[in-house]
Amino acid sequence: MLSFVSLGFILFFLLCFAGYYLLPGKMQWIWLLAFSWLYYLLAAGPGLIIFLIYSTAVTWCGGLFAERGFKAAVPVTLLLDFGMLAALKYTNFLVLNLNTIFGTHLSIRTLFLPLGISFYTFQTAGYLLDVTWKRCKAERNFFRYALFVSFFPQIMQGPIGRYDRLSSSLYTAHSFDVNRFQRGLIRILWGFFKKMLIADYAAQYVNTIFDPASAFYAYGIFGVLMYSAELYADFSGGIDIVLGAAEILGITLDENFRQPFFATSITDFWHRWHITLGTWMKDYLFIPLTLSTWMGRFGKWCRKHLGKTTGRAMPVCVANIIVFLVVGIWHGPAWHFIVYGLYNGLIIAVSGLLAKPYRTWKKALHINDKSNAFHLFQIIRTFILVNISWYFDCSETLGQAFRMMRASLHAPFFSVTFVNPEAPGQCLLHFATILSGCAVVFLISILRERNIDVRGRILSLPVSSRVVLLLMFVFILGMLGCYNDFGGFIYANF
Amino acid sequence: MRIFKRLCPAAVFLILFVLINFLLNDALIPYQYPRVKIHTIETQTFDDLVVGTSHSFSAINPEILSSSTGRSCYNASVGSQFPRDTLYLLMDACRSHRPGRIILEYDPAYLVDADRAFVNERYFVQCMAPSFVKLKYFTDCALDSDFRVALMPWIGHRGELNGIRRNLQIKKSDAWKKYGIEPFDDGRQRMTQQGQMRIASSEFNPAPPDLNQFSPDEIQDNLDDLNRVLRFCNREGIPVVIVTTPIPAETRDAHTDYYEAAHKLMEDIAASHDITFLDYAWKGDSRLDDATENYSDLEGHMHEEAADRFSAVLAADLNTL
Repeated sequence: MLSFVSLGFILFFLLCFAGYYLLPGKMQWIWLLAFSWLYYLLAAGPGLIIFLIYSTAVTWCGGLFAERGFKAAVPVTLLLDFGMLAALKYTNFLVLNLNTIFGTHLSIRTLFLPLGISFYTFQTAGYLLDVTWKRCKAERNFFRYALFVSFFPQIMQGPIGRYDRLSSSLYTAHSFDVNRFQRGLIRILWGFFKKMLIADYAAQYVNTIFDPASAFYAYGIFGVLMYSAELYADFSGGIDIVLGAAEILGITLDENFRQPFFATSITDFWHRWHITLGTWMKDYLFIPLTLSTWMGRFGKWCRKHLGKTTGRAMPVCVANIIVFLVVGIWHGPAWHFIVYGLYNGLIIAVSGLLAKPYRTWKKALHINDKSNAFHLFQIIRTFILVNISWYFDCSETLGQAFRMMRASLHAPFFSVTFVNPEAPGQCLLHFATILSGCAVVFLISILRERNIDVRGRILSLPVSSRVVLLLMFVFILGMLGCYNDFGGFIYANF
Repeated sequence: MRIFKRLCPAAVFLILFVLINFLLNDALIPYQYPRVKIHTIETQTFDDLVVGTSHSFSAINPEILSSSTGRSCYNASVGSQFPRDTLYLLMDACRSHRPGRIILEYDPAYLVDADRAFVNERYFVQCMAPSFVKLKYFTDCALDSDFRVALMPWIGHRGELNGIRRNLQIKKSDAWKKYGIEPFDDGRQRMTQQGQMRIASSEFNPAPPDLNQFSPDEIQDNLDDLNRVLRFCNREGIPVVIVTTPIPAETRDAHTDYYEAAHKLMEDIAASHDITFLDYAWKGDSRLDDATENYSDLEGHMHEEAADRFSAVLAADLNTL
């Protein structure tokens, strides 16, 4: 209920927006908090809001104690916070593996996963660590902190917010600004465009090919390409709606995507894809790991036994592998997600180890790594590596992923109408819509990569042009956008 | 003046949106059965009201029921009518009169199939006279639906550009103004004044029925809606008879477990509400010929002659209640 593309959410948001700007500035954050909790109640159900309030209360108290110097505050709070996530999300996975490995007969329980738990748990943990490391002061007002945790546009699928950045706009009074409203609206419509014209159509192909019982698993290469389109359009489209809605309310959230398919390496990819998860991992896991005492000792041992260059790189490599193991686990309680994370971590680790040899080889081969051709090569190479990782992300089991990879090497020729052979015309239209949508996204991405403010350009058009453009856009969403197979947002299940 | 200047583009946008939407609705949305049926149940009174899916739409002849039972009867069934649609249809009917009895056709596919996708609701909501029931129906169904489907109803027919001319012609005709049934006659099937769809004997679609695994646990929403229908009728003091229309023997033999599970489920529901359940699908009926030739497809949509024979049998059984 209250999916971003539902009428209910539109009406809910309009109501929130209207009240927000009619109220005095001091009351605005209270209004937002009320609507955030109401949103969670309606979207997740009354039973599951308890987990949200639990996480809020535990980390709020933990922050206060940590600021006062109680050493046990951080480990205890993190245990309680992540413990809840682990218990709800990973218990059955642990039980299944114990049963397999040790032959035990532990039973699996039916556990409900509260909506957004993976996001708000990380957000609250980040707050606690920021307070501990004195990057921000602990929030004394429980309800102000609760708004930070539960702010409704972002609770379902991020971005993962930072208290020091978010608090500067979350609690201040905002007056209605037409320009900001228009910018937010354009962003929301852009999100709808990606979701409805690309993601939902691409999902039809992905679901058909990656169905474990599917006869089309040999079309894996086509499937992962469609998954690239689906996942990017779905996730970034959802984030555009979140950021646009927040912008309309005068609140600035962190960007979560920056043209990820223009990345020149897997490291660069993760600086552009799900940025807030990447920076969270960097700030709260990677840096503490690399600066830890045991990593320092490990580094010394490596320099002594493996040489200076390799020895210096090894701690960073190991830290990267650990970070991406956690990223994989974050994605879900299944071995294919863990392998997905490790795949990324290993590539980054190996790239780090081979950095010096790479430079030597490029010099020997007279490769100009500043040239456009090399830049294009890096982009294509990264795109291929990322698409290989989708086999693990999208499959239901590890075995299925490997089976599909093998079969993909011998893929037969096929027509895109295989998803619905009884309606080939419709299939072709849908496929054409995906391609056209991707072409538009590609063009906009190029402009954004060049730091061109696309929304600013649109807003600089005459009013009549803007009205016509908006009408055209809305009716394109109706005429061409997928609606039959609408199934929510992928990351809303995390 | 400043505020006017700011609001003007938004107002222009809204006016143009409504206008273009109106034109697209007019051009793309064809003349639909619900328009006639809802107008009929809102303006006329009936002793017996048949509600259900396309199965009862074709299978139950109200004229035969009337002549046998002596009670006026109307067939308000339409294809893709889910239990929630039935609920609001009945609530709408009860605004003007209380039917004497409801004959509720139960198609198990509509409990198993969770994908309601705001199909009929669009038409029902458009066609209903303004009322609290209409508002409740809209909020009950539309809030969870894609906002485009709610705000741009033509979206369901956007691929039917070939039908624009015919749609506009019909909407200018007397049939549209007077809720006539003539436009529904396409030579292969026609709708009667009493609401039955009569399918010519020459029609047959050999495609096997698309029956999902019968798992009532997964479609709690539809079951809840069905119970809401039965509770509503109980509150209004309207007796209900649940009916499952006959199916071809070929289909029954191929999906025995499915129909057995469906029968058991409805038997339990009917018993809990103290309602009669007449199941002509599960084990067939010796008074009826369940050969495939009597149907226009393997799902169970009956030809007109077979429907007449079934309606006579149904009327006889209703008379014994």
